Amino acid sequence: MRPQINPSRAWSRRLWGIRGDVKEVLTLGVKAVDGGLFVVAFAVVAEVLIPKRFAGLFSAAPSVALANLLVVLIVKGRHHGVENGLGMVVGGLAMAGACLAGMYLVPHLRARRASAAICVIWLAVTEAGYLVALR
Amino acid sequence: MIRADARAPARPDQSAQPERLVGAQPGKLGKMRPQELALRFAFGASISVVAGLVSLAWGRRAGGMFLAFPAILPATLTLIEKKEGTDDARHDVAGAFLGAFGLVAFGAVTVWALHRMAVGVALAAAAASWAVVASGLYLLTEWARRWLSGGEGGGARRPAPD
Repeated sequence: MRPQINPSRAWSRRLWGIRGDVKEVLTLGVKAVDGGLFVVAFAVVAEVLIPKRFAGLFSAAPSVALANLLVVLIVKGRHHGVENGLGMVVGGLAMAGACLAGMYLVPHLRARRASAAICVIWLAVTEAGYLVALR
Repeated sequence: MIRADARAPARPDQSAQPERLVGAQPGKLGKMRPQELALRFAFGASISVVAGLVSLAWGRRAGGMFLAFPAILPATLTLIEKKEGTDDARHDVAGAFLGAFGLVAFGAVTVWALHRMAVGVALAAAAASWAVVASGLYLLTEWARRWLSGGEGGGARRPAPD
């Protein structure tokens, strides 16, 4: 007898290559709320700090990292956290590279376009870092 | 060379005041609009979901990289430029450059500490490492900048507006 396959799960497997688990969706929801709240908290702290160069440290605060690692460590355990931490090292180096470029780009392109360029540079550097060091 | 920003809002002449190394203006909290906070919440929530999906699709290391995505920076830079001018936005991204090395320390300490300590202590140690590295680099570069610019007693002076 052939095993029954839930059509919605089969669809998500085909489309995303991931398990269409309710638990995963709930975890993602908690991470989203948690991540948003941590980002707001760090942004509020940054808003009151002077000078801007010091407040800028908080633009690279581990707000999303703390929020997500809290959930990951509670739901999935240490091993997941260690793997995430390894990825963060590469992501942090990419952030440094993107911000270095941003120091040049902001006065020339203005903030909106420079922000987009920073994100693209970050993606390119992390992609390279992933292929070289993490895969 | 920093360009003078014609679109920057006018400021009072601060040329006589030494720039503070670190300070706070709690009064600015009242000027934050709910829309600004909502925008930042949306950025934080979105990148958390993206990091989670990347983890599921390509593995935990790839997802971990997205925990260091510049989530706050785009919203902050745009808002700072709108309210305080391009020069302040450039200073913010210079600060973020130093803070990024704190993120590297955060990741490295997370990996090291999770093998050796309780989960809560490990996360606290990682957060502390970010604070120490980021603020340490800031103090170091500020002192160097002020020393090179010949400020007395670390009190560099703001350039007079054009």
